[in-house]
Formats: sequence, structure tokens, C-alpha cells
Amino acid sequence: MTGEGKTPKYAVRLVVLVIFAGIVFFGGLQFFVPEGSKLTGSYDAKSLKYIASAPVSYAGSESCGTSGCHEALFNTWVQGAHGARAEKSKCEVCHGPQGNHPEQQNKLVKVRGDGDLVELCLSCHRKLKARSTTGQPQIVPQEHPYPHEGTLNCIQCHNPHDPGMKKIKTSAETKEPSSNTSAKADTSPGAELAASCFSCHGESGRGGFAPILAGQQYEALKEKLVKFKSGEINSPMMNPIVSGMKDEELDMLAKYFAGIS
Amino acid sequence: MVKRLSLPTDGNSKPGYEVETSEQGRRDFIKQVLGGSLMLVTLPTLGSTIFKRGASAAEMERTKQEYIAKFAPPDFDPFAHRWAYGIDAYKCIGCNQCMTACKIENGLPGHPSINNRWIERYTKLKGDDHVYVDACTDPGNIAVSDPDNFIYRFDDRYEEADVEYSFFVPKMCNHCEEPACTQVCPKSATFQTPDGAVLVDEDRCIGCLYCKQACPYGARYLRPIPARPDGVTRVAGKCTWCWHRLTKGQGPACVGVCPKNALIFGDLNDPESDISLWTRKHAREILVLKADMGTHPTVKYIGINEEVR
Repeated sequence: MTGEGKTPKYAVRLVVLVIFAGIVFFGGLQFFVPEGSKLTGSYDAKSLKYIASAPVSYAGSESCGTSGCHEALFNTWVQGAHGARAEKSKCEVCHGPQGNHPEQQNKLVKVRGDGDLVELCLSCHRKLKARSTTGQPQIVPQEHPYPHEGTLNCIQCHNPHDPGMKKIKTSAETKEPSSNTSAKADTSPGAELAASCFSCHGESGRGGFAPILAGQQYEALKEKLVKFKSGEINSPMMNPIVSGMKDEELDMLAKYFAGIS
Repeated sequence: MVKRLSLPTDGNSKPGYEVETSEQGRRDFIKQVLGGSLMLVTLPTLGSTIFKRGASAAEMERTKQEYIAKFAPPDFDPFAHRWAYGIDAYKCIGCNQCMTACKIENGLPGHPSINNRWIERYTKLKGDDHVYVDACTDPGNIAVSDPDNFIYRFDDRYEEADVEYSFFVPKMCNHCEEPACTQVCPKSATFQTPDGAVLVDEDRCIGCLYCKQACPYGARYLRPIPARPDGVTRVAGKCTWCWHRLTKGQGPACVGVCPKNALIFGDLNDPESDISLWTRKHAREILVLKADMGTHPTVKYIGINEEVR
């Protein structure tokens, strides 16, 4: 408060100190603040390139068909129930991520999980109250088509690349070729047709998890088959299989199984 | 001195503090404290024009170009896109394939509670006011799942029950237009890219989980990472819309594997993209989760009801 027109010494010191602190502060900013943060005002934009460099694992189904490696299987899939609809079950749903397997040459394309295919199929096809009833077939494992949970694998009857009911596998297809060629070829009429029954009804119809057919009465067999075809007996398993067959073929089947003792 | 929490690894020892006394540790610590406090005070004022309101167009354009040239991944323009995600709960069958694909694509462990995305089952029983919700973290569902092989499923607990309605709802980070998580992050480690994705800078995150507290959708969790030089082994994890795939022109892994096409992803800037078509088609019935929170989610739902939160 002396007010003689002369700036006091302490005020000069204070101003110098503030200026000095300012220089240190803004100089320090250049040193401490990352370049990316200077631009954005907050985050370090340098991290974008790092985040984008993560490896890609899932390649998508198209690359399986266009790469020239799996065309046959891909075409089966495209025409089958899993690939023909707009709502597709993609290759990598079951096979797991395959984006890198062409580079890792010794790595086989396999199926997810440790071989428990039933669980993999049921992840979409198990019947649940919350699951919408349209679209994919839904299964109660204890009932489909006969109680055989734990004893059979889905792919023993269904081709996973083309799983529709019309494409139920024949017994010959489910077996290894080596075990089948040594057996003497059965040339009796209906034998070829009957082979498709063996995967459920056992070899030559001698009993699997489905009823024994071998040695049954011809008339009884014929009557049952005709009733399956007409829908008089309701069976979710047998109806779709028999519905595509001619009456002569049913006759041949009944004769074939009646003739086996 | 740097004190670091050491967690027991053998099950016998108790958690405690490891004390590091090296000179290097002290210097790093001081450096970080200084740097952090400087940034905290000054960055809001320093930030460049595109991130400020009221900048001139020319100035904005110049900053954009600088941003793209210096920081954007090769052949990708983050300003050219506006991503959005659609979920059709009518179609969802709860197969959990999206979760599996997400975990494998992003290198997450199989444990059911470490998830970028998950599916919830909402069930209302007749004569019961309560709506029951269960997800992959439910003990009953874990019991029938196989986390080691990334196979997850819902048990059939309601098959015998008298169910009024029941449906699946996929849940994930909503990539809000006004995210709460980015506002609370003390390290600016989580941020929104110009194309709308909310990402985490794993080099900067310290795993404090403020973002988890701020997120209304429960989309965040602690994610284990290989130990960083500063000793951090877990950071905040979240869905990134597979941003590494977006920059290479691919969609998120979950959308790619969905066998029911219940997930839709695309660029709203492109009027013919999947998401634009879907949004127009279902404009009347689209809902977002917790619209009252003011976060403006970009993940849109159809087929859910007011019970879904």
C-alpha cells in the first residue's frame, strides 16, 4: 500500500515464477502427453492400429467353397438342409474357426468339441420351451426316433452336410468300406433297398435299436409298410422314409425280410 | 517404492503386498503420476478440433486427414462408417454359437462368466408374477455345458413347467452414441472411435472397473491378459464389434456364425447395407435397452418385451 509508482520486488519475483512455471508446464506437456492424445484430446489414437492388428480366426463359409479345396463337400452342403435355406448353419459353427488352417498345413479340419457330436447337434436341435417352433427340427433326445440317447451318434444316420430326412444314410454308407467288401454280395431282390433299413433295424434286419424284421410274416410286414406310407400309423421316423417308395418296392422289402431266417 | 498386490497362486499363501524398492520403479512411478496429472488438467483444453464443438469445417477436415494418416489402420477410414447392430429375438434359438465364436475370435478363456456377449433366457410361468432370467453363468446351465470345448447350452429346466412365455435375448455391449463408460475412465483408456465402436486401449487400462460400474448394460468384465511390463494382468474387457475384422472389411464373428440370421450388422451410412434395410423394415417395432438412460444405444432389438432390461 505504499504506492510510490515502483513495483515491489516480491511482485516481480512472483510474476517471474509464474512465467517460469508456465514454461515448465507447457514444455512438460510436449514431453509427457502421447501424440495420439494431443490430437484427440483424450484417448491415445495410437492404440487403433494395435487393436486392428488382432488375428482373424473366422473366415466364413464362402471361402471353403471358392478356395478349390472343399468344393465337393461345399456343394453337398449348399444343396442340403443346412445350406440351402437363407438361415444357414455355417461351416464354422461345427468345424470351429478355420481362417488359419490353410497356412498351418498339418492341422486337420475337425469338429468342435472332443467328439461328442450329439451335444453339438443338440445345441440347435434340442427342444426347449424358449426356442421358436419354426425353422430347424427340434428333438427330445429321449424320444428320437426311439430311445437311443448315448448309444447312437446323429451322424450314423444323418449326413451332417446334408441332414434332411430324405437322405438318411444306408447301412453300407455308415460302415467302413473294408469291412463290407469282404462279405459276399447279396443279390436277392430287395437286398439293395433293404440295406437302408440296417442302420436302425440291424444287419439283415436282425435287430438294432429298432424292432427285428428278419423272419417276420410277409403279410404282417407288408401291411405295416403300407400303413406307414398312408399315414394310418403315425411314426415320425418311418413315415417320411416310406412315403417316397413305390408299392412294388414295399413288396420287395417285405419279401426280403420275410425270407431271412 | 512401488507396492503391488500379489494374488496367491498355489492356494495356500494369502494375498499380500510385494514391495519393490528399485530406483527404476520409483522413477517410472513419478513419471506416470506427473504425466497423468498433467493430462488430466490440460487435455480437455488441448484437444483438437474434430472433438470440439464449433470448429470450422476446414479445420475439422484437416484434423480428420491427420487422424487418418497417422493413426487409422491401413485401408480403413473410420470417418466413413456409422456401424449399427440389430438383434432379432424372434429368431434367436439360444444355441450360443455367437458366444463361442466371440470367445475364440477374441482369445477369451472358456469360463462362462468371461464374456463379450451372452444370451439370456426370459421365462414367465403361469400363475407367477416373477420373470425368471438365466444365462450361461447360471449353475444349472454350467452343469450341462462343456466350457473347455466352448460348448454352452441351456438346460431343459422348464420342459415340465407350465410356461406362459419364454424367449432368448442376446446381450452385448450396446456401443452407445453417448457412452457412460468413456466418460468415467480416469485413464482415457476406453474411447469411442469415429465410426461409433467403443474400444479399450489395453496398454493403458489399469483395470479399475469404473467403466463396469458406469455401464447400464453390464457389458464389462475383468479380462485376463498376458502380464504387461507394469505388472497388470487383467484389464477391462468388452465387445469390440470385432473391430480388427471391421478394418479388414469383414463383419463381427458372431454375425457370421449365427445359423438363424438373428444378428444383423452393417453401416448406416450405406442405405443398402443389411442393417439399413433391416432398420427400415422393422422401424415400428425396434426397441433399445434402457432408453431412459440417455446413452442412445446403437444395438437395436426386435422381439423383446418390457421385461427385458
